[in-house]
Amino acid sequence: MKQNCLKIATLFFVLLCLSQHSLLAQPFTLDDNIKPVELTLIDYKKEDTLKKGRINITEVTQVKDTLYYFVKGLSMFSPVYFGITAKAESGNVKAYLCKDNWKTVNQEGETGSKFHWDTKFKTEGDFGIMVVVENKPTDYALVVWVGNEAKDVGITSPFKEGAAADKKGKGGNFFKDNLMYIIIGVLVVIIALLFVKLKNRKQ
Amino acid sequence: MKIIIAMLICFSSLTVWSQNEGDNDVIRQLGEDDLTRLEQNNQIDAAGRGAVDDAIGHFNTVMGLYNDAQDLYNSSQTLSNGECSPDFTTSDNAMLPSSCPRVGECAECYRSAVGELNFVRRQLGRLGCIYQNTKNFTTSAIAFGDNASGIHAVTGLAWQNARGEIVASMNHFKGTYDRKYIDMIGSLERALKAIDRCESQYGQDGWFQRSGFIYLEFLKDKYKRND
Repeated sequence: MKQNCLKIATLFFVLLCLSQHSLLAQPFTLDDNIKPVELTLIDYKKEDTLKKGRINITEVTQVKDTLYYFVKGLSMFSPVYFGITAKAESGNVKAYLCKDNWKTVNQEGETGSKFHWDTKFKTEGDFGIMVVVENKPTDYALVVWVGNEAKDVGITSPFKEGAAADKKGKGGNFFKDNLMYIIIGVLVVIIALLFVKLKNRKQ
Repeated sequence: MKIIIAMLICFSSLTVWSQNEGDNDVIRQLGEDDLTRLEQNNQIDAAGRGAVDDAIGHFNTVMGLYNDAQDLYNSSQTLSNGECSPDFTTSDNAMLPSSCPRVGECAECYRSAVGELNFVRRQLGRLGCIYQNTKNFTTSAIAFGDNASGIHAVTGLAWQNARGEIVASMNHFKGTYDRKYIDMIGSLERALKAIDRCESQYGQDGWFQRSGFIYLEFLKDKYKRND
């Protein structure tokens, strides 16, 4: 039953992703000259509990001012690492990460004197990478790593543990269930005591 | 015939001459074999060797800072500030009472039912966020196109077609969302009724009527599309 539900749900999300593919293929642009290169993710370190996931390592010699890339097939339950590393003799390389369109930059960084910049984040669907170089040609490497989906992702239990309940056959709520009889019993005892006292006084 | 062949040779040599290595960007994505070779410290292309090795070194350094993938995920922010990230917290007022001890037969019964419930909650959270992000993307694209198209008349005409396609895609997506929402709410109800069966067997009678139903209505309202 659970297996079937999992299969149906997986199929559902594949279909859902396909249905929105035309909308979210890559950051939006009206410029026909922007032709982003898809960075294809491949399986990585299946046995390593931390690093297992998918990765893309790309080496580039860039002669144009700006190059565009995009990565797709990301899940909001997976961590993403992006790193750009230039060769020591290369000039500064700037990287801009864009989600919705190429004009709105969501994260940016440059290799600078360390020849490297990296960041980590989470996102759903895809994101775009715009790389601008100062010197041409420039050699650099891109690393995009996407981890496997985290299992718990902060799903807290909606249950109040140890809440009061009417447990069947456990006798745990004896006083609550028989409160009326207990009160009546106590009153009867008190009345009986008073009656006995009064009788003793009269005698 | 000889003239045609000679012309073809001339054209092909011209093409080769005009595409010198230095004229174009060189983009090389490493495959699985390359990765295996890298891990075995074998040589790859001399041109990119330094940058790739350094890049992997930096990646390993960052990974070394975290104990596990969950730790890494928890410390990550969304790429875009306005991007939706699923929120699975439940306020104290909306908590479900549970009388099931965490050991024994009741725990066994609960385990699969609660697993199913959490699975549905997770998928509902994803569904809601996919919708929210798609809506943000569409709104942003339309605003961007509307602004940019005013600059040039030809672009303006092209944009009107593109705009129509974007709006149609979004409307189609809304329909898809609604269908999936109904499916997921059905799964949620089934999961809560499975918990109800455990409760009636080991805990309290009428759990669904008293608590599960309210939680179902709460999540139905939370993920219902309201635009």
